[in-house]
Amino acid sequence: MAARPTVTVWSATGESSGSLPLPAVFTAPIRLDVVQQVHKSIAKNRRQPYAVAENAGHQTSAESWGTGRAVARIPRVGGGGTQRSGQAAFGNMCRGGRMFAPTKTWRKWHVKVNQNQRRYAVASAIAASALPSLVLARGHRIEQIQEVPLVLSSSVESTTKTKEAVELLKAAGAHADIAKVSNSRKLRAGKGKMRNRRYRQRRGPLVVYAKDEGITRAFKNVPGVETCPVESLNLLQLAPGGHVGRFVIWTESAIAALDSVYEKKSGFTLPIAKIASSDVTRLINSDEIQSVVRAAGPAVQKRPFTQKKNPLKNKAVLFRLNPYAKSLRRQELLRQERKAKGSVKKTAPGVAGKEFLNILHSA
Amino acid sequence: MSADLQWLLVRKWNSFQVKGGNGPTFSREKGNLLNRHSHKFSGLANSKVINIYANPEGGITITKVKADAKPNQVASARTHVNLRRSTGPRRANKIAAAETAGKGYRADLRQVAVARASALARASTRTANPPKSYPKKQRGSKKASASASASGKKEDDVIELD
Repeated sequence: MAARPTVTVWSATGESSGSLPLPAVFTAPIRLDVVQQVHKSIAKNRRQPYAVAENAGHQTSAESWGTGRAVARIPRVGGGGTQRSGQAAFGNMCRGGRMFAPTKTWRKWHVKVNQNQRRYAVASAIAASALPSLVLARGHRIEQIQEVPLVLSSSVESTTKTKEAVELLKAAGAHADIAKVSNSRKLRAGKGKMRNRRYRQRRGPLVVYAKDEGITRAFKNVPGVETCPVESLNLLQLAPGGHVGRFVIWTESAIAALDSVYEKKSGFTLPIAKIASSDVTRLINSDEIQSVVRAAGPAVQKRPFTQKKNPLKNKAVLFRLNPYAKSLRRQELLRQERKAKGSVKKTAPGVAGKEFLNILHSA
Repeated sequence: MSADLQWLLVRKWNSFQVKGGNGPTFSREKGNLLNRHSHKFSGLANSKVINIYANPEGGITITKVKADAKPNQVASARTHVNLRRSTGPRRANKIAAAETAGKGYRADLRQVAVARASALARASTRTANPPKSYPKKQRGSKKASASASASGKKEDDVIELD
C-alpha cells in the first residue's frame, strides 16, 4: 500500500494550514446493508409509546340478548329512550366498539442492536463521508469545497457567534449546502404541524468537534447544521434516513482524536475490506489473471443483420430452404429439352378411337 | 475506492435519479452527458468525468477532472474550459470532441459530448431576424365595439374633468 493519505487542514479564512494523516476509520468498507439495517433498528429507539385508552369501547353495560330474538348474539346496549339502546357494543366490528387487539403502551418499542454492529455501521458511514461521489449522491452541495473530509483548524471550536460560524462556512465553501437547507424549508403536511414539527427541511453539514468551547451554540441556529462531539458519533446523524454520505465538517482536533477514539473501543477491531482492489478493469488486466486465461482467438466478424435474400429469385437460398426444388427444376429443364428435340409422342389428344365411334353411332 | 464499487453504492439510490414510471431511469447530476442513469454516463461513479453545460454568459463550459487529482478532492480536482458565446457551433463541437477524446480521457463519450455541445450551441443562437410583434387585428363586431369603447372612455374623461 502506498503512503498513508493525508487530509488538508483549512484555516478559518479558507487557506490550507497544514495536514494530518487520514484516520484508519476512513478506509473501513462501506456496507450499505449494515448501515441500513442498523439505522432502521436504532431509529426505532426514539419512539414515544402510544396506545388507545384502556377502557375504550367498554364503557357501556351491554349484555347479549341470547338466542331467540332474531338478532346476532353480540352484546347489546340495554335500556330504551335513546338511539344507543339495542345497538351492538364491544366487538371490533361494532360501531363504538373497541378496536381489534387494542394497542398497549408496553409494546416492544426498542430494538436491540449488537454493539459491534452499531460500531461497524458508524465506521462505514464515516468512511462514506470521505467520498465526494457519495456525499453528492446524498444531495449535499459540496461542489465549492476543496476536499472531503473537510477539516477546519481547531480554533473554530472557540467560535461563539453565529455570524462568525456562517463566515466560517462561507470561507470553507460550505455555504451552498446551508442555502439549500434554507430554501428547502416547507410547511409540513398533516397533523405534525400542530405537534411541534411545523416545518420540514433538508439536512445540512454535521460539525464534529473534540471540545466544545462555544462551537455548539455558535452553530445551533444555522439552518440544517448539527453538531456532535467526536466521542459520541451517531449513526442517525452520520447516515440520516439510512443513506450514507453525510457532509461532515471536522475540526482538526476532532479528526486527530478519531484514531484514539477507535482504539479505546474494547473488543472492536476496525473492519477491513475483503479485497484490496475493487477496480474490475484493473483486476481483469492484472498479470495474475491474464497469465491463466486462454489467449484470445481470432476475431470472428458476425453479421447479425445481413440483407434478406428473396428465395423466389435467389436459387441458392431457395434450394437451402427446399432441397426438392432442385430436382423439380432439373426435371422441368429435361422435359423442355426433350420437347425442343421433338421426341415427344405426337398423338393428338381428344380424338376418340374408331372402334369407340362405331359403337357410339350404332346405338 | 474504485469507480466500480462507487457505482454499486450509488446505483440503487441517489438524490439525482429520476424514476418516471415506465421507461428508462434518468439522472440529473452534473457530468452526466446523456442524463441517463447508468455506470457509463454517471457523473458520480467515474474517475474521468466530463461536464458540458451552458454558462451564465451564454457560452459553453467544459469541466473535467484533473489527471493527478486525489480521490478526496472536490473543487480543486476540476478544470474548466470556457467557450465564449461568439464561438461558433462547429468550433465548439471540435473543442468538445478534443476535450473528451483527447489524451485518452473518455473516447467512448466523444459522440455524446459533441451532441451535447451542439445542442447547447443551437439553444443559445441568436436569430438574425427576431420576429416582430404586432397588435392583434380585430375584425367585425369586435373592431366596432373596441372603437366604440375607446371613444366612450374619452367621453368619461371629459365628464370627470368637469
